[in-house]
Amino acid sequence: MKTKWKWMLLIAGMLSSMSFAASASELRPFVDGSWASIVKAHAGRPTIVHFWGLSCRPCRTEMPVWGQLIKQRHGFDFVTVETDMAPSPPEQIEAFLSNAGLSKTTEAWRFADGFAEKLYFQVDPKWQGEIPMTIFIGKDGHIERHVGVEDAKAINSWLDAQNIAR
Amino acid sequence: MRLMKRYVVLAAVLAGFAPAAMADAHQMKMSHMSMAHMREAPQGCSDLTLSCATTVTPFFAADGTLWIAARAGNRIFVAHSQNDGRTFSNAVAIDSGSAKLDWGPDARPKIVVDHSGIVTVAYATFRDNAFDGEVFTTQSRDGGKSFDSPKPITDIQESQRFIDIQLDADGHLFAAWLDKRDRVAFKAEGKAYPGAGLAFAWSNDHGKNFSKTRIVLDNTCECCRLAVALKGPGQPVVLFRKIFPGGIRDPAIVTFHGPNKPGLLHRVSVDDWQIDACPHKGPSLAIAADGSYHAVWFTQGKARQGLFYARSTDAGKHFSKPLPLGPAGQALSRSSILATGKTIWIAWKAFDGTKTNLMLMTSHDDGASFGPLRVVSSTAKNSDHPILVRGGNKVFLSWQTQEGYHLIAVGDAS
Repeated sequence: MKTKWKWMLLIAGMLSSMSFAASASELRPFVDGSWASIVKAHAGRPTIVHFWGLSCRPCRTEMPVWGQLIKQRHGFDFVTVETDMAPSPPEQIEAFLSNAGLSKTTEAWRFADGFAEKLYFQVDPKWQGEIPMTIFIGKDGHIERHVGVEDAKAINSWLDAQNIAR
Repeated sequence: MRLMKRYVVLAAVLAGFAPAAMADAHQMKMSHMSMAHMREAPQGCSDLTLSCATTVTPFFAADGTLWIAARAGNRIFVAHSQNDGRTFSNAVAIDSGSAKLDWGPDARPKIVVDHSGIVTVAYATFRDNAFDGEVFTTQSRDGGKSFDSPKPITDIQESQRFIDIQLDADGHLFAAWLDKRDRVAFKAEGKAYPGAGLAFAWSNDHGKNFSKTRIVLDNTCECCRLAVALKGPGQPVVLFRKIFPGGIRDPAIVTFHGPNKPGLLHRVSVDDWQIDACPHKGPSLAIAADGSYHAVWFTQGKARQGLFYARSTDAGKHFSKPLPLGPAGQALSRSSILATGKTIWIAWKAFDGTKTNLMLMTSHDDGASFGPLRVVSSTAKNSDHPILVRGGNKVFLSWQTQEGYHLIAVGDAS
């Protein structure tokens, strides 16, 4: 009986740790080289990469707008990168994204390297961490960078230009 | 007493900084014990040691003692050095409770020591998950051996962040911070309230108590530090990022004509930075012996982008044409400025894509002209803001990097 309980506890522990690992992996660590890998992974597809922070009030206000957008329009990739320097617990970030209408299938990253200057520079040498910041990558690889809260009309215009159906 | 042994780089940076000296300085830095990853520090590294610290704020007391207030993980500690940072006393923790410290990129503990030896430390915490802040102060009256229980600087529960404290020549302590108390009234009237208010208070009893909080003006950029310098006793000057109509966030300055008499707002530069976002980059300010103002700020405005210097010889009413700092093409940030006599010192960080160079530029004619740029130090790892500080007749650069703490003598105070 004791052996049976031991096995049950062991299995329960393994399942528990697997569950935790799956949850944590939903937020990918954004480190040296991550930007290049994101650009490469989405090459050929219209992609919007949105940099934000849980500590940033304009970001928190804006995020539900992005949640609405990805419900309304399909055929483009949407990626979020959380850039706070002292991160909130992953669960808090994931809960916020979920509440904003961004499903768990949305590709979500968070800064995981304290050398933020390098990460900013790799994204754009002129970016110094101002958030919210959004990068629009066209099918042809053309990149546009906007700092501040986005205008919904401008986003829709860009998607129209990428031949994304309304 | 366990000493926190620190290497210190005392390579005087005079004209034509010697490459050999730079190499020596680099070797010394590399020999520092490695500190915990700064990103992980808030969770994983909270030892009361400089190797764990992510921000270090220096202050030289009148007797030549170097004091530091540092944040390591979710703790603040104070230590002092009698030998320009070669060794430090035991670290003494501030009892900041269980609240998260404000870890914003522009946030740091502040420290001053008055002529009677009373140490005052000011800092902010996040009081809730909405990142609303609360400012606290605490004092040591036994030479830094212990600190009082921290007290909120105000009873109001609206968000407060980015406190700065300065001692005037009469021993009065001025505190300024960003404060959101006025948003309540705006909200009640259904009006938007962008940003935060610029708040201040005085202590006339060595930091034990502060006067009633007053708001100078509303709508300053809520996520950028402010800078305070003293024109004279009871005459603080505050430089900050103001939200102008149209959502323009440009540098502005207010000069107090008396302890409770803030003067008019003056715009330092029309950069036209329209941004509904958090720049996380506040300005720096120094006032020279002749009363001239010296400002450095960051902008990504339509008119100019980068880090800029300007001076005013009419108490901030007008500033000179912004002078761009360099090198061009690099990411410039985190300026510090100091005035000693007619010499103006400006330090900042320049990231070149691989490493962060600690830059220094000096003027010996009250900012009318500057000498060549100098690279004082560099790191390929994370680093804190550099801070220029005067200790006796020397000027130092205080810089915490992931490799350790550096107090670099950069020249003589004129």
